[in-house]
Amino acid sequence: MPALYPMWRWLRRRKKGGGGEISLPKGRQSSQLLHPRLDINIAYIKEAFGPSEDLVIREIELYGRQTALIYIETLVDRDVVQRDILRSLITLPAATLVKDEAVLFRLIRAKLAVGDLEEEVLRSKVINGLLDGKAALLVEGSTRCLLLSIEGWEKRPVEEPVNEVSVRGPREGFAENLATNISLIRRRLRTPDLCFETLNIGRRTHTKIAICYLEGLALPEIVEEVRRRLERIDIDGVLESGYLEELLEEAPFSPMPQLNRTERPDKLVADLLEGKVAILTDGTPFVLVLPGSLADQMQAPDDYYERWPLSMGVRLFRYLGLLISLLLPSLYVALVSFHQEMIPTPLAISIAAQREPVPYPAVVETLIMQVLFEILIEAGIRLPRAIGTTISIVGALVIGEAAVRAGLMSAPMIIVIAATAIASFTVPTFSLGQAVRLLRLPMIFLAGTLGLLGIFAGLMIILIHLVSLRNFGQPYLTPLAPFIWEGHKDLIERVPWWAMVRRPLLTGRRNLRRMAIGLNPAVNAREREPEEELETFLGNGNVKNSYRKGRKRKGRPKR
Amino acid sequence: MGKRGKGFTRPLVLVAVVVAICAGGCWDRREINELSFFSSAAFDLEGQERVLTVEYIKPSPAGGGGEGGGRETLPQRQAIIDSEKGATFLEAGRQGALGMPRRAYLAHAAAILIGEEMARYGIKEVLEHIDRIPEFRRTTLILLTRGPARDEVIMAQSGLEKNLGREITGLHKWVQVSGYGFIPNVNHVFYDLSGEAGSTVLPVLELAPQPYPPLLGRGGTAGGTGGATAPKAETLLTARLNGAGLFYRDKLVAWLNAEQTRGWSWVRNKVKNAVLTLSDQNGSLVSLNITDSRAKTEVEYRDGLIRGNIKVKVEGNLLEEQGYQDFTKEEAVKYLEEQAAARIRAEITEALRAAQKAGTDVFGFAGALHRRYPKVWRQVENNWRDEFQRLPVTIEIEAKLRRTGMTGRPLKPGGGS
Repeated sequence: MPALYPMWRWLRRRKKGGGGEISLPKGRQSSQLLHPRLDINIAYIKEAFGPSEDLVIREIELYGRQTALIYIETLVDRDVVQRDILRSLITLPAATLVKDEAVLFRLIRAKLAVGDLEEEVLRSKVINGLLDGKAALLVEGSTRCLLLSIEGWEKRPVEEPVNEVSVRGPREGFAENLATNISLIRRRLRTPDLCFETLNIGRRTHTKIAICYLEGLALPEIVEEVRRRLERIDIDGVLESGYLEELLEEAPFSPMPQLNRTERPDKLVADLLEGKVAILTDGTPFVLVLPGSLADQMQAPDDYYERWPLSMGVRLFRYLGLLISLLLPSLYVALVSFHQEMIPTPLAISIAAQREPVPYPAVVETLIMQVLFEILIEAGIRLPRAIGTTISIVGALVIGEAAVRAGLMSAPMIIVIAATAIASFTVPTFSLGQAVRLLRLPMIFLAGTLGLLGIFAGLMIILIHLVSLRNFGQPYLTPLAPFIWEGHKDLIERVPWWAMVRRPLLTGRRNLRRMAIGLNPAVNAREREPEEELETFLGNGNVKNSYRKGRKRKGRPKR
Repeated sequence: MGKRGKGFTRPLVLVAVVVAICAGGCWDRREINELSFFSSAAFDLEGQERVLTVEYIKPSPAGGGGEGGGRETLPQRQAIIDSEKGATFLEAGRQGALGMPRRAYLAHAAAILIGEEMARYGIKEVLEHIDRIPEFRRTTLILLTRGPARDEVIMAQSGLEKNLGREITGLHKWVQVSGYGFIPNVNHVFYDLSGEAGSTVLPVLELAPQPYPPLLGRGGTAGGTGGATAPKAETLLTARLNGAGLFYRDKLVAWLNAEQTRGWSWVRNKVKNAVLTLSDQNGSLVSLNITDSRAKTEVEYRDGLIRGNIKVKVEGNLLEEQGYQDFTKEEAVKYLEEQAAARIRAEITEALRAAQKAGTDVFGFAGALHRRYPKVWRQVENNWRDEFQRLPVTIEIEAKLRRTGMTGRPLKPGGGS
């Protein structure tokens, strides 16, 4: 339990020191310039990479000079190396001596069939370039080298997101590759306002991170803050956006997920259009969106694609599901072991009879079941797909049937656990669902010790925590806790698009207007007076219709 | 030493706080399956001793599929009965704890019965008992019995419900459609007794035998399973309401029979539905179903004289006809309306006479007087009982026959038009 950590610190009463430095090989990081001698440069690179099989050093004579094309085979597109670079280099005259370095580089540049190439003089930059999948062309007697962009590595194609499923909506999800992800966003947001600021984080992984936002819409102070916090990060490696999330969020001991994350480009674009800022991490299909809020995590993309009255109802049930999944087991415990008067008499008697053979108090029973259920879920996630179904059947049999038969559990308990489990999966964000699952156990404990009083105490603590949470200057309960009327159009209810004229106040305040006013199709239709059109189309002027026509003409000038 | 001691204080405080928080509620915890649910109870007086008879619900697994086959056709009362004596009811109740393996839980109490002797002595202490115990609810229904209530709790059986408490709750829901009965809860009684008139009416519960067909539903177990369950001609004693008792202050002073009870019920708006059987112009019988009844009690003070006035408006449908009267005709309807009004007037008059004789103003005249003429009320307040006994009351009834069921004219078998 992470919440225990501050308590532990408080108990220890010891402030932790600065902590150990990460030791990195200093020599390899040095920013020395390239040596004029080719063999020394090659030796240096060989030493830097050590005995790596995939380091390719191809020496070619060009214009009377010894040159070397160096790349890491597994990071570049071999086709491009063979077809475009090597072939064009080989066709260059080997014997003709060109003395002037500038002329030499111009000649080589002119012949190389590579789009992106730059000159570099720093050793470390060359090494980084090689690691990024570039090829370096070193020339004897020159302290400059050419870096050719020919990256090409294995990557997953764009697929449908696995965790954020939606019934209606695009079937595209982010992949691991940063460039792919950027292209997915660019394709949806065809505006030069879309900005990507990239930086590398991770001393060893050099993971590419991109801050993405819409210029002129996102708040510059938020972008600045994100930049500042990202630049501060000095870590060995970033393997997933979760690393960054933990280093960026403001309440690290809170169970609540404070940054939103999404796998769906469409959802991300919608967030960007609300003035939010995204952080893309190379190697992760999960994009972080900030500032996050609870309301955002209860929204599913379907809400906006499906018809609005339906979405409204569905979202209502989702919030209900959140409440049930947080409170149902603890309510059951409180009612059964403290407040029996609140159960209708026949139900109370029935529960009493069902609980007859159970040896434990209701709290213990519930905690056992809950823990068992959590284990079952975790097992279900980790298990290979083929065994997954078996486990669920076994779990259902063991828990649902045998436990009751054996007198270990009571039937109402099973119902409560099952209902809770189902309700907990209505929460669209996995991490929020996890947070609720985690909070459920202390709630059960409180209910078992203090009854309803305990539940309300627990709810108060959670509520106080939620209200105090803040995230890049935005309160976590945003349209609710600092009450913003406009925000309620998209909180529990979801009003039709034409009524949500404004962007969310806190993130979109630089440019509040989202759309033109008066897009309500009903109003439009009334203005066009379709009845009249229909009548002329049908052409059968019966008495009733002509009467209506006449009356209308009286009130309004004829077109 | 001091430093070391300090290092231990904080964890200790923390542990103490956690333990205190947890232990704070634990003493209050009672598992639902460690309770015995109080369903109904009888409060009796026996000489100087108070007798408390309690019916507890015996929990039985609901549904679940029978384990030993089908031998559950005989109505089984799922209840445990405990009867104890003591100087007070609380003491009697605690005596019961000597033989009760579970904690008695009162919050689900459905009904309490008061024996005749107790009622004549005064129900104040019963009401106190209920009101002071936090678990008891004021919504508990309260009834009266002729003779000791204990017998009824012990002997009640039911074909449908599993215990007397549930049976009474069911009666409470449905009895008002006849007009002959009603069941107040404890709160109503408190309200009545603390009102101006200081009197109340409690319904009388009695056990009525019903012949039970011995072989019904038993699948012909002629030479069957065992002698112990051999079919026997049994008599079920099911609870039913019959009449009411009139209370002055907290003492029972007179009984009302069923008709008088309905007469009172008209005035106090306790009738939801009622059936009036009347004769039409030809002398054959007709039944009206009263669908709506509204009554008002008023008081008028003129020339130093207080007059009471009862206004009742009823509406009804014709639901059964034995003769051949055509009720699409206006005169027939008029005639029937008059008959209905006369019948209701008679019932009310009867009830009024009984109440005036007993001197219990259960019609609400005292309240009406207090509201309308507070000064006059203050004058007569102290001898309101006498005033009520000679209060002249006029009764106005307005009966309306709205519909004649699904059909207009009566069925004439074999007849043409």
